[in-house]
Formats: sequence, C-alpha cells, structure tokens
Amino acid sequence: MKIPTRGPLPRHLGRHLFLISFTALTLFPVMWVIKMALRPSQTFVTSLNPLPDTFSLQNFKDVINAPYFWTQLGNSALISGVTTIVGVFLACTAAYAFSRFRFPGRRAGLAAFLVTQMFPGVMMMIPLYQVLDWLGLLDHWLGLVLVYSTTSIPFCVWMLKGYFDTIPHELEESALMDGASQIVIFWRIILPLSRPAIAVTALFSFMTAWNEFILAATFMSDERAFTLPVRLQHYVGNYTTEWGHFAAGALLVSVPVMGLFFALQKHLVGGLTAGSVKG
Amino acid sequence: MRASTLISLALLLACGGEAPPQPIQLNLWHAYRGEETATLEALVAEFEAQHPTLRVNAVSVPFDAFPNKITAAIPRGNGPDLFIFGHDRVGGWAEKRLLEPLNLWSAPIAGAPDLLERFFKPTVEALAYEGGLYGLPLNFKTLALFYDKALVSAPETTDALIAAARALRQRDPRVWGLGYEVDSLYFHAPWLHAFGGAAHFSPDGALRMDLKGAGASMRFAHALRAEIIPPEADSQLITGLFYKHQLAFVISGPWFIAELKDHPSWGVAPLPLVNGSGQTHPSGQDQPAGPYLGVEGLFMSSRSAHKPEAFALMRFLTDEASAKRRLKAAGQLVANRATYADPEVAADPVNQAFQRQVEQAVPLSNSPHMQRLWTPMQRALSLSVVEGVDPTESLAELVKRVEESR
Amino acid sequence: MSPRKPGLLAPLFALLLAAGAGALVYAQEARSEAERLALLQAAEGPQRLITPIKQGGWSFPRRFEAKGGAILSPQDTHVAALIFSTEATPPRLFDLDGDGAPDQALAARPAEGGGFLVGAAPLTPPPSLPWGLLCVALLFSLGMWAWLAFAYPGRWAGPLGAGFGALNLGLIFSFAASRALDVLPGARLSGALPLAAALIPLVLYGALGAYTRSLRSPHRAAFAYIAPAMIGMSVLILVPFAFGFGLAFFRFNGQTSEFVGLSHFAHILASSGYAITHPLSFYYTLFVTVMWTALNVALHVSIGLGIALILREPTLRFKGVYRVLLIVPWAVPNYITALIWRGMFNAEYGLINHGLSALGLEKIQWFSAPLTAFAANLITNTWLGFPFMMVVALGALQSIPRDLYEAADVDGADGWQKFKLITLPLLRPALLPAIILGSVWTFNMFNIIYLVSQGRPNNSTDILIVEAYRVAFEQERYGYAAAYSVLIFLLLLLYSRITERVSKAAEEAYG
Repeated sequence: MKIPTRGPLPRHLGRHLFLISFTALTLFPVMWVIKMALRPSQTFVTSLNPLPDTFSLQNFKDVINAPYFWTQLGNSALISGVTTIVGVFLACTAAYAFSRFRFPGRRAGLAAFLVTQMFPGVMMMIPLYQVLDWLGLLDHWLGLVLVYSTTSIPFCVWMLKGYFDTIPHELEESALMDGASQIVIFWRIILPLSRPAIAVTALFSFMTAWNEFILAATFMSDERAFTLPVRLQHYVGNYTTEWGHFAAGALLVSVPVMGLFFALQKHLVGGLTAGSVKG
Repeated sequence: MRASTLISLALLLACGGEAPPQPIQLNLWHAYRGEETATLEALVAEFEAQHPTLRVNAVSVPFDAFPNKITAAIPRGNGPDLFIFGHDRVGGWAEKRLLEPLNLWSAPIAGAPDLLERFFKPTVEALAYEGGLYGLPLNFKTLALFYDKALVSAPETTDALIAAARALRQRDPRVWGLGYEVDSLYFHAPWLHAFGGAAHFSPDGALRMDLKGAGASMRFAHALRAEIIPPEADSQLITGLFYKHQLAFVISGPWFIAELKDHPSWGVAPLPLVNGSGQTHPSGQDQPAGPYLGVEGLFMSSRSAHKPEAFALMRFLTDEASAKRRLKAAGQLVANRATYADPEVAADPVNQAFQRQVEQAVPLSNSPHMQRLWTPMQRALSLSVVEGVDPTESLAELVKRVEESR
Repeated sequence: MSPRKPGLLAPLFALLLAAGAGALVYAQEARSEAERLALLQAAEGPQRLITPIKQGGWSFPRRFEAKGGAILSPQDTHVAALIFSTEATPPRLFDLDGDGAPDQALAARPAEGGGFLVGAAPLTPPPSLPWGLLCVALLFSLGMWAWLAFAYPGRWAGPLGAGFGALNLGLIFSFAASRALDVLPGARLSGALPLAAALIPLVLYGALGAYTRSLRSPHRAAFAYIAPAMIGMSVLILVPFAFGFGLAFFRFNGQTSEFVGLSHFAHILASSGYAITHPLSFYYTLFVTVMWTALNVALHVSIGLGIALILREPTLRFKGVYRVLLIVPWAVPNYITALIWRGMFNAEYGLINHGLSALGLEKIQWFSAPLTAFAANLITNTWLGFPFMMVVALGALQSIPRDLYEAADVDGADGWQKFKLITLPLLRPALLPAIILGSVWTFNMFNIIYLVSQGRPNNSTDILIVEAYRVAFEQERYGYAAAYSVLIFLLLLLYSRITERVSKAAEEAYG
C-alpha cells in the first residue's frame, strides 16, 4: 500500500520548523547540564547563557576513574536488563490472559496490579528492606531486580493488555482453525504484532531500574554492589554538591537510555501493524 | 596498664587467645567525597598496616540515603561496625538502641591519659545523651562570615555590616549585602541566640522557647532581608553571586571553602556582634551571634560483632596524628585540641576565624525532639522573615504545631 | 463460577482484619515489654547503682542489675555488662543473660581496689540456615508447579502434584510466620506465633480449595498465564503494605510504641484544627494534589500525543532524530534538571524573568505566590513527563490500522474529523492504562515539588505525599505519616473505582 504524498515539501517544512523549535525548547535546560559538565569547576551554573564556555573533560574523567565505576556500570546494566526481561516476559503472559480470557477474578486481578502502585513508596522502604533481609537478597542484584519489577510489572501488564485488546480476534480464530495451539498463537501472532507496546514496556522497565537510587542505596552496602545512580547521588552532600561531577555523571547515565531507545524505536513505530496484517 | 596493652588484652580476649585464621573485617560507612574520602582511606590503610589482623572496608553511602539506611540496617544486624555522621540524631538513635554507649570503652584507665581529654569539651558533650556517651567527635561545623575582600572588610558589628552593604548597594544596585538561606533555622540560629530566643526541649518533649527573643530575631532578620539580602536566595544562587562579586557577605560553614576554590578574594571572619539585641553580654559589649555547633561523630553500632577492634579504629582515627592529616589534607575542622597547637595550623587565618567562632557557638541539641522543630520553624521563618508577618502570629502557630507532634 | 463479583472489598476487608489482629498483638506486646522494664527497675535483690564513672569532668551515671555474679545493664539488648572479678586474670566466659549459653568478653580494665571490670555481650548465635534463599527457591518451585499444573493438569495436578504444592505453600507460610516475629520494631511478637499457627491451616485450606476449584474450572489456562506475575508481586507488596497499614495505628517514641487507634486519622481528617483553606489543612493539600495530578496528566497526554501525531507523518524525515532528542528530559536524572528549572524561575537571576522583561512584561516573583509557585512546579513536571507519554502514544498509535484513514480520506474527512472519529476512540484502550497509572504516580510524586518550590510559599504548594514525607523523615513520626499514606491509598482506590466504571463503559462502547 502506498501512502499518497500530497505536496510534501511545504507542509513538512512547517512540521520541521515546529519540531525544531520544540526540540530546541526541550533541550534548552539540558544545555546547562552540559555546560556544568564541561567546566572544570564544581559550582552550579547560574549564568543566563547556556552555551558552554569551556571544554574540559576533567569531570568526565573524574567520574569514570572513580573506584568501581565499571563494576557499577555493569551492575546497573545487569539489574536493568534483567528487570526488563523479567518484567516484559511476566507481563506479556499475564496481559494476554487478561485480554483474551474471561474468568472469575479477572477485573479484581487487573485492579490488584493497579492497587500495588497506590500505597506511597516512601512508607514501603523499611518493610521492603525487611522482606529482602528475610529473602537473603540484601546486597544482591537479584533483590533490586525483584523490587524494580514490582514497579514495572503493573504498568507493563496494563499497557500490554490495552494493546492486546486492539488486536482483532479474527487472526487467532483463523489460526485456531488451522490447528495452532494457544501457546503458538501467543508466540507467533500476538507477540510479533505487539512489538510497539513491548518496546514501550521494555523502555519503561529499563528506566525504572536504571535511574533509581534511593532503594539501591538503602539495600546495597558494598560499593561493588552499588548501581551507577547511587554513585551519582554520592556527589550530593549535606550542604554542597559537586555539580560538575554530578552533571557529567548525569550525562553519562543518560547516554545508554538514549541508545536503547534508538535501538527500540524501529519496533516502536515500524514493522507490522494490525491493519496491514489484516489486509 | 597502658592503653595499648589494654587494647591487645581486649583483642586477645576476643580472639580467645588463638591465632585468627583470617583477618577480621570492620565495615565503616561514611558520606564523604573527594579529598575527605581520600584522606580517610589513606588513614584506614595506615591502620591496617599497624593491625595486620584487621581489614577495614570503608563504604561511601550517599548522604540522602544515610539515615534511613542506618535505621533499616543496624537493628537487623546488617549495619556497619562504625559510621560517621552528624550528631543531631544521636538522641533518636540512642533511644532506638542503634548506638553502642562508649562509657565503658572510653573510661579512663589508671596511669593513662583520659581519652576524652583530647577533644574540645563541647564536641564531646554534643555526643552525650542521657548519661551515655555515644560517639567520639571527629570534626565540628559552625557558621562564620565569609566576605569578598574586593568589596568589603570584615565588620565587627551588624551595624557596620549593614552600613557597608548599604554603601555598596547605593553605588551599584546589582550588588547585594548578605546571603544566607533566610527560612532555615540552622542559618537563622546566629540571630535567634543573640536575641535570647533559643529553643530547647524538655526530656518529655515540651518546647521551651523564649518567644519574645525569637520574635525580635525574626524582625531583625526581616529588616536585613528587606534591605540587603537577595530574594529567593538558595545556596546555588548565593555561590554564583559571590563569584560574580555581586554579594559582599555570606553566612556559611567550612564546606563553603571547597566551593571557593576559584574565588580570588575571599576571606572569613567570626560572625559580627549583634546590635540592638537588648541582651547584655557579660563583657558589656553587644551580644555575639550564636550559630549552632554541629559535630561530626564516629559512632559504633550496638550490633557490631567486633567492638574492641572497632574501638581501636575509633581511637586511631581521632588521635592527633590522624586529626592533623584530616585537617591539612581534607580541610576538616578537627575536634582534636592538640592539632591546633601546630604553628602552621595556628597561623592559618581560616582556622583562626572558625576557632574564634566556636567559642560563641551553641551546641545543636541532639534531643530526638529537635526533629519536630525544623519543619514548623521553616514555615514560621518564611512567614515572618520573608513576608513580614507579625512574629507573634507565626510563632503561636509554631508552638501549636510542635506541641501537636508530641 | 460464583455469581457475585469478587471486587476489591474482600481483600481489603481481609487486610483490615489482619492489620487489626496484628495491632492487638502488638499493643499487648508493647505493654508487657513496659511491664518487664518496670519490674526490672523495681526488683529487689542484687541490684545496685554503680558509682558514676567519672570521665574528665563528665559523669555518666547508670543503673545496673547484678545477675548471677554479673552486672547486667537494663539495656540488655546491646550493652556490654560490667563484671567485677577479684581473680588475677579477667574472666573470659560468662553467662550474663541466664540463657545457659556462654557470653563473650569484650574488654577489660583494672577496677579500683583490684580485680577487673570486664565488658561482655551475648555471643552472636551461629548463623542459621540460608532461609531466604530457601524461601526464594520454594516460591519459584511453587510458581513453576502452578504453571505446570495448569498447563499439564494430567501429570501435575494429581494427588502427588497437589501434595507437592501444599507442602511448598505450607513451608513458605510457616517460614514467613516465624520471621514475622521481628517485623515490627521494638516489640517481640511472641503472641504472633499462635496467630500464625492458626492462620496457616486457614490459608492452606483456602488455597487448596481455590486450587481444586480452579482445576475443575475451564479457566485454568488463564490462571497459568497470570500466576507467575501475581506470585512475585504479592510477596514484595503484601508484607510492606500490611506493615505500613499497621503502623498507622501506633505512635512511636524511641523504642516504645503506643496503640492510638484511629486518632491519627481523626486528627488529619479534622484538618488538624486549621481552617479548610489553611495551607496546613488536609483538605487544602488534597485540593492542590488533585489539581496537580489532573493538570499534569492532561498536559503530559496532550503534549505527548500531539508530538506523537506530528511525528507520525510517514514521509517526514529525521523522525528518529527528533524522537531520540525529545526523550532527553526523561533520560537525564531529574535531580539536576529540576534544580536547573528552579534556577530558571529565580526572580532576579532566572532566565524566565529575563525573557519576560525583554518582552516588556513585568517580572514575576515565582515562589512568592501559591499560584505562580504551583505553575513553576507544573511547568517543570510537564517538561519531565511528556516524553513518557509521547513514547506511549507512539506505540499506541501503531494499533490503529492505516486503512481506516485511507477510507476516511476517500470519504473526504478532514484532519480533525479523522482525529475525533478514528484516532481518539481507537487509541483509548492502549492509552488509558498509561493515563490511569500516570495519575497514580503523579499523585504520589514527591521529588519535583520537594526540589523546585519546596512547598514555598509557606507550604501552600505541598501535595499530600510531600506532607507525608516531611512528617515521616523530617519529624520521624512514622505512625502519623503511615496514616497519611493510608488516606492517600484510599483516595487512589476511590479514583480507580471511578476510572474502572469509565473504562468499563468505554469497553462496552467500543467492544
């Protein structure tokens, strides 16, 4: 199917102008982060001009050369990666059941996932510590994976359930008639069609684990077990903050997220759509 | 018996007299950064070299997560053996039995110098709570007056400070006189105490506060705020203005020194005498400003499995040689008295200013009830100092709120 | 199966019941602890006040109890004891707590008049079995078993399989019950043991009943798909949740606690004695919270969806670049960007006021009035939050078949009509979850307000969770903060009931 192109240039020029100015506006505050990261000083930039005036890489060097930087980067990658896999996998199966089956307790089950997000996390911290202590998972990356999954799974289940709902049932019915089993339908039809939603949930699960520091700092007591955001938060003191290091670290931390998003976006927007399969 | 013999005896007892198969590991939590971490780690390495049977694992924990981590970890036996933190939570932690009382450990031994004699007395008092001594002081922190030598000189009194600020502002209205966080009790304390408005809590948690003095201090600060303090000044803005030579005076603590690394013309002096406080000082002069004295303590966990070894490290980190290194390499204002006899240390103008300031400082109460005061006080200061609401009104609300939280 | 809808009331009721039972046991424990201490202090016999140890001018008087030749501090949980011994060498082993096990000597010093004063503490018990890992393994095997039982009922749901499952479940619960003894701070919950013992068979019975019923049920495939996620979630959520719920009925004071019933709730709901329009009143804060949530979510969704629609144009180039650049606010840790926004709102030196005065407008003292301070928070959080909604909308838009638009083009529909009649209705199922969860998160989002306006002026821009955080961590009143949290929870529960109605209606309307 070919999308008709009606005088694309002038219309797209307007879009580009809007998108360029909106993107510039969005990136504007981040310019100060870059400026702070590139200055050799540790003070907060209060000047009006967001353009960097010096180009020193010292802050980046300091952050990277800090003890255990690579270990902590590895921890972050491991924890976020496993959280993403666990969260997306468990959520896919649960969401499929919520979307495709009618069974007693369906609404309650769906609501239960939502309810878990309602009690303020602030009050959950110490009891969560206790639970992880029982499980012997303090100071272990698996403990953080479990905790982060409890935040990411409910959203993933709801998001995927909503998306599965939009996939026409006719596809499965015809597959059933062809003799495919439930599991095959789930793996071969539903999951490929849901790639956009899976990309969204994967990115969300990853972000949940990647940028969190309070729980990680509370549950981990060994610098070799810390995640990168914990190291980053460490530049924030009681009265003063090492802003240069913090800004450099913040940029370093956000690069993998952008990379992941870049890799995921072809699934997010491209590929098959329900309509094209149907047609 | 000398102290060292005692320690070895203790070690012997703990080890049951046998050679230990593997070194004992001590965990030490701190929230240090940069030079402070480097100095601490160097000292720890030296300690390990002296005690081959001991290993020290110094873990740097983000400040924001520190108190929660202590409360969560120690009761469940996952905490550190030793940790370094401010003294203001000592009361609460002691009541929760998180801290080891050091009375026995630090008790004087016949023929040996008293361990506690090595510290400035108020720094030890800050760590005592209801009859127990719960830590050894490492450093102290207090507020002093930083000034830009390119603009002003150190004033003796607040009147002189205001006059200097006025003159500057008349020349250039972009220049402000004084910078500090006006709605924070910690920064307001110098005025509060000069006007006799100190806040205390009785052991059962009743607030004792001279409201007249507190109100007068708030009116005084409001006048400052209206004339010479920039509006909505937070610490980032204050540092920025001070660098741009648009701010003459800053009330801040020793941590500010590190921020001023690239500033060409800063100086530090004790806070000025407060004019018009209506309080009489024994010397017959005006009342000195009374900032809080904060003490950074070295605490032993009540659940430590290696208390004698941990105490040996406490002694080591607070002794004169360690203190000297902490002062010189990390810029800490150490609590060990003998350090300041060193001529090089004594000649340093920054040390002189802070040492003079400490004499006027008021130890910050470590009562667990103090935690109930900060938030309500912030609102009262915001109402009366920033917006000019009558202090009797804002303080009445404060008293009600603090009373309610009992 | 059962004609009645299970709904949320049943689990809530069970939770309340459990919290109540826990509270009762705990109250009793706290009382007996206080009695024990009083007894200790009043006890006759070998108790005496040791002469205060003089330390360079400071004296630390302490009361010690002598027990079996030892002197035991009343703070027996952690303090070393002082032992007076007249022997030539200090003793090395004692039994201070009378538990029959030896205690460990820690330090000794010569006492006045000869002998030694020795510090000692109970020996730490030998490490027990790695219960935690065992529990994880059990949970995992339970989950696997449930999965297998539902997927292959023939082999795994027979009597042997059921026995395996029941054993698993029983072990988990008895383990949890035995460890529940030290959930609540301060008190020793010996009373919880019989309670747990009574609960285990009950839970087992219920679980087995549900299991046998579900096996016979035609829905077992559905349960098999859901079980893994559910089991994992419940362990990590239920215990902390019950704990937080229980805290709300207590007042803590150091090591002691006091059962105060519903008085925290009463105090909060009575507006703490302030007028309803006072910034410290619960209802004022609730109003701010609702406005905060509604405006944020509305802005996140409309901006996110708008950008996603613009980026949807198939022939537009550099879409990937725009998309990646636009998620930057989400990717950079918000601790630093929130503070940059705060700097931009500064009255004298902020960029925004410079812009306003360059346009000939008057400067705004952003953090001096509730409305402008709220706007500053809102703008910051909109900036932080729209990329997430944009990503969700980009994904959700893929669920709409292109041919619908082509058909609409053939019918001559304009852009707005296509949006209203095709995009919006078809987007709903995929976007609604993000909106509902987004509002729950925004309701409980404390760090932006904590960083940007910090409640200025005068707490008038605080939302409920900020208030709870201040009470919990600045004032250390955990009970009161827990009551706040429970109220927040109940409000959100109410909200979800309403949205459920809406989504149900939507589901009926659109299939």
